[in-house]
Amino acid sequence: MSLRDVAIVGVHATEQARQLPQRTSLDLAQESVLGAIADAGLEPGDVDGVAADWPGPGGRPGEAASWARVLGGPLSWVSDGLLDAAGARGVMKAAAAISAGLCDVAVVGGGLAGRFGRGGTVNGAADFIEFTDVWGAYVIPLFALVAQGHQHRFGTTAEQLATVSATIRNNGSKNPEAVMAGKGPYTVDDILASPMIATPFHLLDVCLAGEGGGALVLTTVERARDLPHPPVAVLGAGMELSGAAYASPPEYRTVGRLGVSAATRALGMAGLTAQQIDVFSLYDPNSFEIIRQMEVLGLCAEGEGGPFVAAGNIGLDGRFPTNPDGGCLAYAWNGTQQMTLKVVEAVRQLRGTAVNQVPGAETAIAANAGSAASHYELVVLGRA
Amino acid sequence: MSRLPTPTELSGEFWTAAAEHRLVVPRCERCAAEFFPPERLCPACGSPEWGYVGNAGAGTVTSFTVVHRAPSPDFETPYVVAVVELAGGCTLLTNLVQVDPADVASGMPVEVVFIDKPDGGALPVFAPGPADPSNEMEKE
Repeated sequence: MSLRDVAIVGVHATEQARQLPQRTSLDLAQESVLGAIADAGLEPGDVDGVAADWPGPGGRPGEAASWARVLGGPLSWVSDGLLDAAGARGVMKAAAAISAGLCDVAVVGGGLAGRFGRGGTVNGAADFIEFTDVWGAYVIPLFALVAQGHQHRFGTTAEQLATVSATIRNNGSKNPEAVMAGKGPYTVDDILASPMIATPFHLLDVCLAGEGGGALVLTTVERARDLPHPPVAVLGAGMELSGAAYASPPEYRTVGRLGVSAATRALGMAGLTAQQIDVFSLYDPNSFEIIRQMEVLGLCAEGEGGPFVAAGNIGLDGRFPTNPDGGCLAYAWNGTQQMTLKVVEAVRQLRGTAVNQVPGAETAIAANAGSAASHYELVVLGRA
Repeated sequence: MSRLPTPTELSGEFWTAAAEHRLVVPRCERCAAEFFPPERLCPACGSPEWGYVGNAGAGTVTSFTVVHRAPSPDFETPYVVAVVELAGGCTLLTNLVQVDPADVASGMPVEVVFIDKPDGGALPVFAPGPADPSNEMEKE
């Protein structure tokens, strides 16, 4: 078996909001995991592989084996670690385990609630970083350094950045599950009129921190044929990491092209070019990361991402519709599981059940990233 | 402004020197690479043998952002977060001071200055520096 013999067969996204004071991280994670299993048409006891976060209380926080008592049986495979229990990385590792015969049905996901969860406030920042925090550099300014480098080098404009925000936020406006549902519509001028956070990012250029959860279930394509939803195969995958997140100052010259080798690997494995992908579910903590990924994925040349998005390519009716659900900018950013939501949206698009459905979508890319965070992971998905 | 971090076994000498208004950076004893931030092994050659050496603190702004929303009330906005490349090749994150944020540009020459903290110690930041002598020649 190879990765493409593995399919995503179940997805679940919980409610997403700026705060979910009535929820705990554990109950969001349990809803996600059990919801994805139910969506797959399977029983908890069918699952024998777990790459899902266990936030506690009970069990042992951070140890995926804690799920064995919830799922009702011994597990054949687990993967621990927050970034391994979500999104594209979780999918490729679970798919690798299934294709290697280590387990048959795997679940990936988790949830986060700030008030009762272990995470406290969710501001996206990591633990204290000695040579970063002392100068008032947090996540938004660190990403801003990379964006500024791109602007300086290629002349990318604030209007081009704002085009990304307006496009994706207007998708989210039409998504009832979105944290920003019903807000907008936004014009480029609306984005530019919002308060400056860290040049070149205005308030509406950056995503909103929130809470929620999500999960995915994977099994073999063969087994997937007997399950209720059309299987979505893992056609290709890749990751690329340049160091510990935020430990070194991110600059365009050092991390601007992060993802090129991961994308080359993933698309090569899938036997596709980026131009052949029907829908894109990409990490959008800010407007610039979308422009950067257009270039990294090979949809346009380096430096041409600004004019490329300004030409309407990423709109719902454009050639390369991007983040139809509203992305992190308008749908949800909830810590780690926003990575899973990127895959959930791609799967819904390929099933034909998405809110802002791209007609006839057969292939998708779901990507988790952060140039400033020094990592890039993507999966190429397609109808099996 | 922010409080200084608790030094680690890697960074103690950096902060001790900063308190005395000296900028020091790690320099590999095997391959002579200068790097920042300090880490256990030289990122250029992997050697654990390195020591801090003094740096004159002249550098160039390579990236910057003007921050209007601070992570805590310790920072007065707007302030400039920048990456400065020092003579010797290593880069560090820092703040730019004594400059109108509107006048900051990539490529501008800067030099280190130190901000003393009320609780002791000092934070290295950068201010507009003397222009590169070769540029001065061009102006004349």
